[in-house]
Amino acid sequence: MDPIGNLLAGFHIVLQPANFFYCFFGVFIGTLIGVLPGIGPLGGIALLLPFTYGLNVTPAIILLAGIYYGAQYGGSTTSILMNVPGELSSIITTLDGHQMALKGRAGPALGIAALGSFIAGTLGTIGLMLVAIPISRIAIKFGPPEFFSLIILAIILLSSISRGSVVKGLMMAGIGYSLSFVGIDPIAGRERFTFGLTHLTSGLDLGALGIGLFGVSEVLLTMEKSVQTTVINVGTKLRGYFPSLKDWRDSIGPIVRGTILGFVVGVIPGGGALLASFACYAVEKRVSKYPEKFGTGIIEGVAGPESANNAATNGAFVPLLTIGIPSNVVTALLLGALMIHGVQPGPFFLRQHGDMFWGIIASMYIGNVMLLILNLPLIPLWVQVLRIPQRVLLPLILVFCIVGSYGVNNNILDVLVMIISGGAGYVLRKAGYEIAPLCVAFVLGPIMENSFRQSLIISRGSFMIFLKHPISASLLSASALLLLFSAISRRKIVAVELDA
Amino acid sequence: MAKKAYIEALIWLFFSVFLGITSIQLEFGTFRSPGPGFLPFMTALFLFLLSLILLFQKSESNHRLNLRMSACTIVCLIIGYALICKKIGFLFSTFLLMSIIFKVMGTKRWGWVLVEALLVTFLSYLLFGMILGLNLPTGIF
Repeated sequence: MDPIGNLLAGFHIVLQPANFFYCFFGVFIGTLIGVLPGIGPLGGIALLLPFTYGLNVTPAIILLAGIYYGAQYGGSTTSILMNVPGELSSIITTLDGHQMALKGRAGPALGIAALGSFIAGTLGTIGLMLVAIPISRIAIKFGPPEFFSLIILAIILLSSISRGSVVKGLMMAGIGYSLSFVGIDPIAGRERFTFGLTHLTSGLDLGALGIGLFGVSEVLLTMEKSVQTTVINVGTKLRGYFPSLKDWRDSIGPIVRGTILGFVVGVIPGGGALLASFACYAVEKRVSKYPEKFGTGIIEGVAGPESANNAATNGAFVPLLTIGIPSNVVTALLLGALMIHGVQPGPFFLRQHGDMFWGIIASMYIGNVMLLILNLPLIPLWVQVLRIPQRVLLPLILVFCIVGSYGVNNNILDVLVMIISGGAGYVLRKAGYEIAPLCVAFVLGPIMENSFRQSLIISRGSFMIFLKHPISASLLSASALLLLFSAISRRKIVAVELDA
Repeated sequence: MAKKAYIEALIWLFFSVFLGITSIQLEFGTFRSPGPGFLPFMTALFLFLLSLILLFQKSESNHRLNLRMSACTIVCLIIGYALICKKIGFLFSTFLLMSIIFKVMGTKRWGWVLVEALLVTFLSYLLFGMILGLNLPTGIF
């Protein structure tokens, strides 16, 4: 069937009442999570992951994907109205968005953020649709050595862009990889690192681990911060949110550039919405005729980054669905969700689960329309949500964390795993470690181990197999160069620190 | 600050040793057919090296610790440890390894080196061998 026919079949799947409901629920929760400071899409997806175990795989992924791109929409609301980013990718929006709000232009700022996100989300979905098919055709040529090398590159990329040193990032990846060993060895079928606990034979649960690492640790960190609670009032009239003709003229360029840049950054392993929004802001400042005005409340500073972070979420689905490699930690959780449901994304995903692929694509189109409806007329409602005091909100999130982790297997040991990983996540983040490489390595661990061991079995024990295959050799060379570059830049930073 | 970083690196060092020791218990296999313990051991080695780099980085920026141990020496030490561990036993080989590492890492008095190595060996045996019930190599003892 042609792509248009497939897409129509995808719409048929999403418009089934249950799938439509999960799409709406996902984008609603996503917006709510984006609006609320203190919990991002990561925490939200981790929190809801156990609840999707009982669903069919298509509605489960539609729901989780909805949270991911929905959160990008919601994140701008707090950035603009409170000067507090609802989630990381909206940090840059605070610069101009909040300044616009202080000047009495909160409505157009919120409006362009929602409309720009809608345009970028829709164009990004078209991009995903167009790019996924050719990439999966190339990815069919990938064997175990290529997969192993690609995972190495993804982890090194993620570690090198992490906060702090690349060594700390790699350390986290190593820890995540070590945690993935717990359970049954995938090839020999022997128990590893279970210490006699039968509960651990099926491995550490991604849901419980994710809730702890991202949900609980985020709550603990937020408890320490005093979040500004002054919310700038916005009108209740819908007309007030629509940007003027001049606003559109100023914004259309940043929206288009943000969409393209965001999509590309989203595809690259290690990229994501945060990097996309920062990169877009930098580009807009560079191409602008009045760069000095950035940060004073100009609409370009809102339109570009908000479009970029949305397009990046679509881009991030490309490597996930076509190669089976997540480009960031959120898509790593989505990969985990697919694997829990017995679906292995990768080169054959489109062929074997075409209906699911097109269903997800169609849900993104519908989800973006839903988000536009949710974000513009319901802004006064989100403003009310922002008035919920943290002393009420944070314990509520903690209760969800406990119930969510218990719901994994109806086992109190999962709550224990959640609490321990939450405490560990808090301590690690306080010590300047990034959790993302840990989670990605944990999810990719079994695939990496299988690829590595299969490669050695194929080559009869020769490590040269990783260098004899051209794609694998190129990926490993890129990884080595990246490591070298990171090490050199780190040494320069240390030298500057010592000189100072 | 340097003390905090030092403790941080030591925790990772301890974790990597734990992973390495536990991996030894599993079947290592061959390069042609790697066993369940192959990659965990490699990961332990990787983490061990990273924790040493972390230790070295911290000392470099703080000018406190005088580390002269190259990555190459460490790799040789660990490989040697893996080779002799089964033959001479966990207790003796760990004591030997820790003594060398503590000495090279800057503990000046041999008396302190031996006390520190003895303490780490005893605590690891208590944790891995007695509390976690791992079947640690007994060797000649």
